[in-house]
Amino acid sequence: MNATWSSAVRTLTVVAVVVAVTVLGGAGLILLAGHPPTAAWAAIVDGVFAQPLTLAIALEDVAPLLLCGLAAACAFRAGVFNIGGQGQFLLGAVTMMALATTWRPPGPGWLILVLGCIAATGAGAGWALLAGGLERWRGVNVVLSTILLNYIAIAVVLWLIEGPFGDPSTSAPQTAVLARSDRLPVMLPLSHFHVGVVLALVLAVGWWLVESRTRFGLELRMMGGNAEAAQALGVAVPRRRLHTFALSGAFAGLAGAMQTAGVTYFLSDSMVTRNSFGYLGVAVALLGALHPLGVVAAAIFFALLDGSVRALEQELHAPRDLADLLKGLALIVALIGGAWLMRSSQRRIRGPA
Amino acid sequence: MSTLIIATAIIQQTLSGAVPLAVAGCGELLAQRAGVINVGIEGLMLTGCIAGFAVASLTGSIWLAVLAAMLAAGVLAAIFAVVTIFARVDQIVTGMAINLIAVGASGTIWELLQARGLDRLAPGIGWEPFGPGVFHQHGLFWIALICLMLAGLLLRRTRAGIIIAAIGDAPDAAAANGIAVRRWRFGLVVNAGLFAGLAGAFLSVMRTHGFVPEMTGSQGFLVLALVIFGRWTAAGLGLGCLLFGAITAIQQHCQAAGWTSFIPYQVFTGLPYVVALIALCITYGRNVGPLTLNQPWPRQR
Repeated sequence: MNATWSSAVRTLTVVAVVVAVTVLGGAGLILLAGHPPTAAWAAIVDGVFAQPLTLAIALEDVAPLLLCGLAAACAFRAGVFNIGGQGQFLLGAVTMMALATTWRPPGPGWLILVLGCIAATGAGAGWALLAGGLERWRGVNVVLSTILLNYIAIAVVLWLIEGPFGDPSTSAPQTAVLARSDRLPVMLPLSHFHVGVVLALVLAVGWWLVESRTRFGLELRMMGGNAEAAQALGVAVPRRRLHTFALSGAFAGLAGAMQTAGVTYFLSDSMVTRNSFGYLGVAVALLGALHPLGVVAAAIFFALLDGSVRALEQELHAPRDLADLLKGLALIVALIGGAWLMRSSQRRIRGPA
Repeated sequence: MSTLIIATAIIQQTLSGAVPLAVAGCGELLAQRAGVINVGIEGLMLTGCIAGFAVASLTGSIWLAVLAAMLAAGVLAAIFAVVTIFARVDQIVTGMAINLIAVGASGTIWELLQARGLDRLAPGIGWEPFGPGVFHQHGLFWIALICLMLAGLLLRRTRAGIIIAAIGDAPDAAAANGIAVRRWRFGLVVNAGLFAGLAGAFLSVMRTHGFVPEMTGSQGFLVLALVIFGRWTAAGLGLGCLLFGAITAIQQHCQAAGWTSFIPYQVFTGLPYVVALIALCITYGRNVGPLTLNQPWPRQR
């Protein structure tokens, strides 16, 4: 009882420190850029927290952040360092767009969305399994192969949206825009706060249950803790690693489908090269301590941070890249905090040295 | 005759393209040999790019620019080193955080420079390449060559090389022999940061005389692949750098020669990464690398 209490206090302390460092760091940087922090605060309140609509707009990106976060979290939990979320996200995005702009299945209108999401999940999983296969049969380091596959994915997707699935009505390298009926329904008019956000939350809770309550989840956690011990206890580690790759890629692929069908409605070359949801997913997962509910909180935190920086950019012309800087800062502080939590809990288990 | 000119140009560009990879690779090679892999090399190079460019545009001195680039990347590498070596956080994960910080910081500084009209270098700042034929290169080419040789000699012929390998393969045994494992690792990681900063300064103030957001374009990640592809030897690393310099030079020539009319240009831009992946498939044997790569030391605490 006492031990759980003190560990909860420690965890909350780390969370508070992370948030405080991000906010204070942001204020300091805004000051450096020559704006009074009070004006910045007013801009953030006006631009993000004032109305439900502004808040909903800020939270549009929760779906891809959360799903990419789950992609990284489930893989890292199993000891699979899949840094390839970006490539898997892009493959999912292009698969969704390719299907939805070229094919009209018979039956109800929403069918294409469902099929598109399923296909995107498969595409993401397939791209991740490439890295899984290279590791299993050629011994290629996962971190490197997934990073390289991200860049290969960019080339493949750029070719797809310029060539076979390009919009025939323009010479710009982009897909056609989704018909209104093929878009994910929004929950608040005028925003892109779409039903995919809810689905992502449901999936997070679902993955939490699977990870904590099922044999599959237990095996993944055992692998992440100590692969040799897991093998000795009868876990089919090589096969389970492949499963982990597929699951992780599926989450990222679905994120790509949601973002195109729910927010952007088309895919252009600048979107392919500029967005970084797949990489941010790694940060979200670690900020959330790989716990599905922590990942939810981290995704919301990052989305609010992005929204705030966008508001600062509009009102004060503050540099947009502040957002990435603050995310990196938050992540480093969280990592050190996590190491501290781990050490203090180990000390409790083993007793004072 | 013209084929001779083209061949000369391709070889010249091959050597020039290999320079940043080799410079950043030298430092990363030693750090990895001692058991620390820094995925943040990409970010450290980018830090070098912006720090070098900012100081060059503010002061007009290229010497100060190079110094600032190395220092800035070195400081960021020191943060990485403290977090991974002393706080024992996972190296891959911390490297990703370093990349985020570098992208954000360089973009922020770049926007601030632009707002103050400091977004281009005065003409005449910077060194020009010199030398005949294929050796029409920046001075850093020769420095890279010397550094590679020195790194090779260091690893194979000196006491320090043996210590570095021991730290990477058997840190417990090294510590038992009185070697300060974590201090060595710290020094080697910061050293890798200095080299990455130098490579970044090369890209911004020497080669292009300008800055573009995320101008490193994944070269830092290629450096990691090349160190592994070269099986943690200086000679292998140098060979890999030449291979990638050649691929880049050849694909640029193919694009310029109009091959893109029948081959999509994405084939050329994706080619280096496909080749890197294939190279890793062919050469990557198990258990050839430093045995404790990506493991904190001591294991228990």
